[in-house]
Amino acid sequence: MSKNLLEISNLYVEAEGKKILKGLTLNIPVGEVHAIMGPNGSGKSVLSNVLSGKEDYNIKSGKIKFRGKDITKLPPNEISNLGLFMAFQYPVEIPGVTIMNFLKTIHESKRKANGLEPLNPKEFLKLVREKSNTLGIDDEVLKRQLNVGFSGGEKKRNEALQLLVLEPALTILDETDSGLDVDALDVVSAGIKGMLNKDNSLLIITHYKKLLDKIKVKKIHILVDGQIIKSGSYELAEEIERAGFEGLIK
Amino acid sequence: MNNLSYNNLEKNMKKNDFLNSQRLDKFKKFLDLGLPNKRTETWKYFDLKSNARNLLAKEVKDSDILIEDLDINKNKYYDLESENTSPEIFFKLNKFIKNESVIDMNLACASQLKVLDIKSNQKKPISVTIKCENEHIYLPRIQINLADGVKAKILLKNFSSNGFTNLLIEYSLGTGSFLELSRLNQSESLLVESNIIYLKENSNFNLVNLSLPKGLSRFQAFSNHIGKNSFCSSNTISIPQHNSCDDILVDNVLKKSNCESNSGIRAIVDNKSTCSFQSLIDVEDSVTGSKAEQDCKAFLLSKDSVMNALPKMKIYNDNVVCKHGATVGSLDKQEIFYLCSRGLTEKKAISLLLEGHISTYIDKDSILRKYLPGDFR
Repeated sequence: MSKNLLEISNLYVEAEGKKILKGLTLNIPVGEVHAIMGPNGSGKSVLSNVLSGKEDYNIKSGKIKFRGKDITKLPPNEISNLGLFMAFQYPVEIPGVTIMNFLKTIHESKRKANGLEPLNPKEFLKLVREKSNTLGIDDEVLKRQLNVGFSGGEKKRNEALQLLVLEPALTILDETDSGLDVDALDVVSAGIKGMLNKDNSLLIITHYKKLLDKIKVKKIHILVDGQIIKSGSYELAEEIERAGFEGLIK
Repeated sequence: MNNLSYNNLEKNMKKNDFLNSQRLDKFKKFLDLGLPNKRTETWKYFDLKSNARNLLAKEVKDSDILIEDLDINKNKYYDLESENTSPEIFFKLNKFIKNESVIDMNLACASQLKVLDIKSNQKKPISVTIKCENEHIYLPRIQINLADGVKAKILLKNFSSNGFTNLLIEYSLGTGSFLELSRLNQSESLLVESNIIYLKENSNFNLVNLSLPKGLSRFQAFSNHIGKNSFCSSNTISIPQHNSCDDILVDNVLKKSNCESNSGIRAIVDNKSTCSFQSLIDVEDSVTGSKAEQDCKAFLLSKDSVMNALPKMKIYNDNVVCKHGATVGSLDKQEIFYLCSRGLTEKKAISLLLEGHISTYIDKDSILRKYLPGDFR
């Protein structure tokens, strides 16, 4: 049994007085790819936001441990610097900040938090070029303002670029497959797959199995009404595809 | 306002110089309206009358105007009174300005009449520094002329620290000329700066205005496109400091076809400061094929900060493309969360958002960048 990278135990979360997560427990071991599937409103995005440290939610009880450290009440930047990265479902637009400048800022910030000197400009440029080539992003795109005027697919590619540059221990893909056409899905999934190794883990949050066809998952968890009601292998995704979530709940 | 204060102005007015009859005419016009207060439509956010009340009894003095990096072999800066010039030339540019009593006050009472003639290209920016440091009234008037086809850059800095400054600058752009104007406002006093821009055919006026007032500041620009294919852009970064007031007005009058006129503002308003942005696009009925844009984006960083945005359009021809937009609000929490989720502290995330806001007008190569407050550089 591998060591757990992420441990969520008996997590209860409310938002605006409404109970969203109701005793959720989930472990993700180091080096494994897991997926969470569930119908709309089941609490998938709330879970990813809570894991990233968003303050809009009231954590009533339970604990989240990441790399052995309790992150339940940590702010988002500290969670990020520990090595957790969430690829957003709807990445925001930041006018006036170029992608290259943004990548440099977040890369330096992470290295500083880990007691490392920033890369020199040449080394950094080489790193970014290498990662952007993997995703089919050309240099001109790096000069554009962050997500401003981007299509849904371009935004998701840009999220993937950030994750490749930051090389996190745990990546959460929050519905990254939505808004991506077939070709873009191939490129993004290949880029993410190339990053995976025995020391990092991936949590895919999705409605559909199309991304799970590209990235091999160890376990799929079904989230319904704030609880994991079933966990299993890839066959679970096929079952959902056949019978829908309703069929599985019954 | 009692007449006694205006009498003091009249007493201080230069008499018997070569502009005498024009001065008297303008002073009469000034008296008709007096200084504007909030009941004057275009001054609704800036009560000059009340704020100038105690200063109008002060003496009229000359401001310090320092010109640097001017290629004096080709170009010229001089005092108008030292030249044998017809007074009509000095009143030609402002003829289209109506009912602006502050401008009439300057035209009547200006104690300094300076001219900067740029007759050949200058690569290095010409630096113009204005300082008004005592509790007096300052009425400088500067005329800046670009000859046909000339390209130049000007860095205009205002460091007034005391008194009431009513500054008038008139720009006359010759056919095919290009002026890149960078303006820095760090005044701490009561300042009204009026700019009149006269654009001939194919001329290009490009203003980036970094306004960081610590007092009460009004910047107004009136552009008059008298030549076809002329271009005027006026973009302001306004960050009023220490509970101050920054009032910006940009009027663009398009009198000829195929002209383009853009005015915008990026404001960051904190504490109890106020910023206002009024912009007018006025397209006359015979004018076709012109483009104009107004764009206001402002961040309010405190509950007591205020931003007023008032876009206005007077379009009398159908064959014109005009756009306007205004967004005023606090920083977006989701944007801050997004940046923090990438490892940035909340302070750094906010700083990056504001830096991005500013960068749309002042990029890393801008001459004004070094004057930005430390957090935004």
